Amino acid sequence: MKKAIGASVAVMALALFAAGVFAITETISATAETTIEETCGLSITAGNPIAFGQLIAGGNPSLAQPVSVKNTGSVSTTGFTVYGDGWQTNPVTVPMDVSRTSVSDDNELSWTNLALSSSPVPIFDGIVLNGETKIPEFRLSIPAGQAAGTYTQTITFTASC
Amino acid sequence: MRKESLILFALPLIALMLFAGIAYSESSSAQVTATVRVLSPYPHDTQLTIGNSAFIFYGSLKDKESGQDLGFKYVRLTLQYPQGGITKKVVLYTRTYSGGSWFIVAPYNWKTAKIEFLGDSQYRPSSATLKR
Repeated sequence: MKKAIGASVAVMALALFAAGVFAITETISATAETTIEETCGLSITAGNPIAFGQLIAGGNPSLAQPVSVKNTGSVSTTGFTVYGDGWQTNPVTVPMDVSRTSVSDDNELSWTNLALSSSPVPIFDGIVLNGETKIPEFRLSIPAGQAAGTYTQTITFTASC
Repeated sequence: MRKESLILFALPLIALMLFAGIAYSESSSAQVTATVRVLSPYPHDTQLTIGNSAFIFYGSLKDKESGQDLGFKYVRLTLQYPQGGITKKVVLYTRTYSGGSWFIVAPYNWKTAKIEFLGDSQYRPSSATLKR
């Protein structure tokens, strides 16, 4: 009889314990779905700053200056552009047209020069695969009559995904 | 009731995460700085210097605008010195070294020393004089 009671208590205890565990699980369980969104990122990995060196006004254009731009995002870009904010001197003398800077995006022997502008210009057909590095090249020609001095310009790449 | 509370709590959180993800994925940009030094067309002005120590005359030739050393250019040193009650003149030539410097050994009791660069298609003439 005692054995039967003991066994019964043990079974009940086990059932209670199991119920308790179940109860705890039920209390804390919740379903939360998180969507990992596709990310878009650009990084300059080489070629910054672009140093065109010394150029004679009205003389030969500069050598090609490559810049490595990497898509550090998780997806391909759907748009890839470049623009410049214009050549600046300090003190300001004669402004130099931003379109004097040309950019090539074909990386082949024959250049397809696009004039840099203050508005975004699409390059590489707008596509940079995720993890891929594109290397646009820049050249500069100085118009005759341009005032001597040191000029700087900020060139911006943008990617949309 | 408990489920409703959970939903009420979770929905704004999920919406916030989605919004943050979408905002980040819209676009990205990166910038580079470009610099150039513009020089006026040739011919450029030049700057020639002269110094003296004992019988050695020395100096350098530079592009005045860019500061670039001008190597392999001919320069002419003219010395005037007294002899027998009259002033005599001697003219010596040399070429600047690759770094733009020049020197000439001239054992004369000189009074005036003038170094000249006569110019070429790219650089204008210049000169400098020492007296004692």
